[in-house]
Amino acid sequence: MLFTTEFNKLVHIIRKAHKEMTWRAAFHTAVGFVNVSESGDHIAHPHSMYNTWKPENVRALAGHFWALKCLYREAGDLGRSSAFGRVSDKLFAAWDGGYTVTYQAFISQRGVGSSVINEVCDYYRCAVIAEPHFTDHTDRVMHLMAVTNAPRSRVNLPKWTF
Amino acid sequence: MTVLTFYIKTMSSQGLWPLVGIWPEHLTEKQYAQYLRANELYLAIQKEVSLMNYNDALTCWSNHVPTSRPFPDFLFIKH
Repeated sequence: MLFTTEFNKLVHIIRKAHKEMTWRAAFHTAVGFVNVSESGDHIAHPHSMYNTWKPENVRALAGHFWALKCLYREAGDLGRSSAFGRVSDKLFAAWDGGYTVTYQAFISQRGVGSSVINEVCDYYRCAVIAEPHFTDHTDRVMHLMAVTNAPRSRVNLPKWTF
Repeated sequence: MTVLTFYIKTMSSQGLWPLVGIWPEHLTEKQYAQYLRANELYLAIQKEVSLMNYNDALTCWSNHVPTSRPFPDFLFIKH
């Protein structure tokens, strides 16, 4: 990653906006934000990825990580399969229990590292830049579908409800 | 003390050099804050050096900057 003054400012802006956020979380959020810069208009929205997630988005993300778990298992990578499975379980549990999930709370959890954060950011990017005629899967899912020879329809397309 | 000397001394005295240009995956919370500061200072050092003439910049770099950080040749237009 190329470190720039603008990037540094972005980290400080995010940290300032969310006083309870750690520097680590602010850093990874900024990296994610740079990757989804096309969706900059949505950052202040109360139900954007960076704020409180609606239950349908929690459910959709839980399903997405569940699909990753299954695809990695088929690809023979049991380590990643169980890592993504744990993330999926946590999100399903939150959705099932009716708990509010915020981005900050999610990324502060144990087991949520940069891979998971990047995947959430990529999911969000795919969802918000989707159009009626074209919606893409995340890079990770595309790669896994190619490796496992799975049909595209096997995994739900990314969708984000504001 | 010039601004450049101040930046370099700060980097050395606070032990920030090892944090330049790395991917901060396994840092502690305190180190994340230092990481941001280190890289911002490094950018500032590069900017100050780019304002010098090539030979002075090269001398200054080799005297004060750890050898693990290569001289930013790309900042100078060579004819």
